[in-house]
Amino acid sequence: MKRRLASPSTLAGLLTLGLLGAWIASGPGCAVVEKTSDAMADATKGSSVEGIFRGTARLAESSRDYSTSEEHYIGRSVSVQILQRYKVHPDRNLQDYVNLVGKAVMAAPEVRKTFAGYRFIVIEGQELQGVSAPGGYVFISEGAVRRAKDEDELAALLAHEIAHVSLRHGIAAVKAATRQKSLALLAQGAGQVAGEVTSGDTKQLVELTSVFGDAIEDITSELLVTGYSRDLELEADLNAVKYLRSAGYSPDALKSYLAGIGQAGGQGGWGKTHPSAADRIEHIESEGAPKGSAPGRDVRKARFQKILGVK
Amino acid sequence: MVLSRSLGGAVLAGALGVAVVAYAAEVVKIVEREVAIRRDKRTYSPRLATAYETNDVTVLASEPPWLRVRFGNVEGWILESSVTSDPKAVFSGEASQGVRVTEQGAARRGFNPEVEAQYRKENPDLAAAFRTLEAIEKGWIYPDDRVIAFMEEGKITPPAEGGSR
Repeated sequence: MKRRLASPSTLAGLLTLGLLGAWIASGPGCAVVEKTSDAMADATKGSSVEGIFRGTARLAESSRDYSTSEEHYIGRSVSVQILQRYKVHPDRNLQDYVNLVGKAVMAAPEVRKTFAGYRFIVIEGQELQGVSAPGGYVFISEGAVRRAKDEDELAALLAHEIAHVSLRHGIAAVKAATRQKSLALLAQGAGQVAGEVTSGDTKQLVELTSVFGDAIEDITSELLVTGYSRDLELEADLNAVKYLRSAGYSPDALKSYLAGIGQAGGQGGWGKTHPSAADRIEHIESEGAPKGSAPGRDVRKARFQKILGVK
Repeated sequence: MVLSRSLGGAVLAGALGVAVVAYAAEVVKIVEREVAIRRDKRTYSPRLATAYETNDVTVLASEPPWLRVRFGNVEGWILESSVTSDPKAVFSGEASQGVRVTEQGAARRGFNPEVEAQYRKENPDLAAAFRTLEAIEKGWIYPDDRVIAFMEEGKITPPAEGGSR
């Protein structure tokens, strides 16, 4: 039987579509996709693949994300919502120590930097809590810190939260409806310059603030009530292990931290929002994440125990 | 990072299934409030200069995730995520380093300090929490030399640095 072959133009289209899909999946940024796809559409005008490029450009435009500075302002207000619910731990030495460990993890160049840098805030409470707001505001409960056996495990805990920020998981929680409203207002304001509010702009500012409030609500709800999806949690774990290795901490510290909270019988506050420790450990192992203990772990453990008053 | 790519190279790359990323001394804008231009490709490498949001830098080379850039008369390294070439990019509009917001030509209004101020006005119950956050932002500062000393004390040596920090 004679097999019917796809035409060369169809094959070219399929090849192009596949390459574009892989390219977008690799995360080059919507603006890059939009700009280059538009240019490619112009370059291939009249050919069978022009429509594919043109469609890709429109897809990128409709899913445009919030900018680095917008992420910062969203993150500040989400953080305020968290601070409405939890108290900042009063021990400044503990806060400084946790911040320095976080800054050390950020030596990993894979960590995406934010508009105004990362901050690590220990909140009161013995439940296991870890919440990261967009823009780099990381909240960790004292209970979660104390469950670590050494500095490398604390670094692992922070690396997981840093990964959520770096991978923009919080921003991804903004619902499609909110994004569409944001885009519409941005389009209305095209050509306007920040800082110049005239009386005619007041309505737009109020509308923009309303959408801003919606975005805060979308994210806060996901962070504090429903939690991220299992896939996002596991993605944060794998990236955390990479950060640990690049920063000079022990790559296996996340697994040992998870093993510790698993053995301790339950996960308290985390139980509602995170996959089980066993599930997370299995995923880290199945993905062949880096392993091993970094030099100097005992030195860091002694420092950890001194700061936390552990004998 | 949001950088445009060499179009011809990209089309060829698409045909051959290989990645080609070429930069022809492209001028891009800083997207962070402030960014250190580093001497080496290391997060805590010595700071040669400081660039601010919307400042232009010229990309000389790319070694992901690092970019070699020229800023004024200084050449050094920054991370790709610190810049954009997107002409539709939204900036904060914050005035910095004597640059008035109205002079930041590409600034379009998105979620920015004005919107946050309006949000705070509409939600007065959040005032105390905003004050707490701002006290943390202003008071909890960890300069590079303190972080480096902390890393050295803890014998933390990123493998890529080969202990040469």
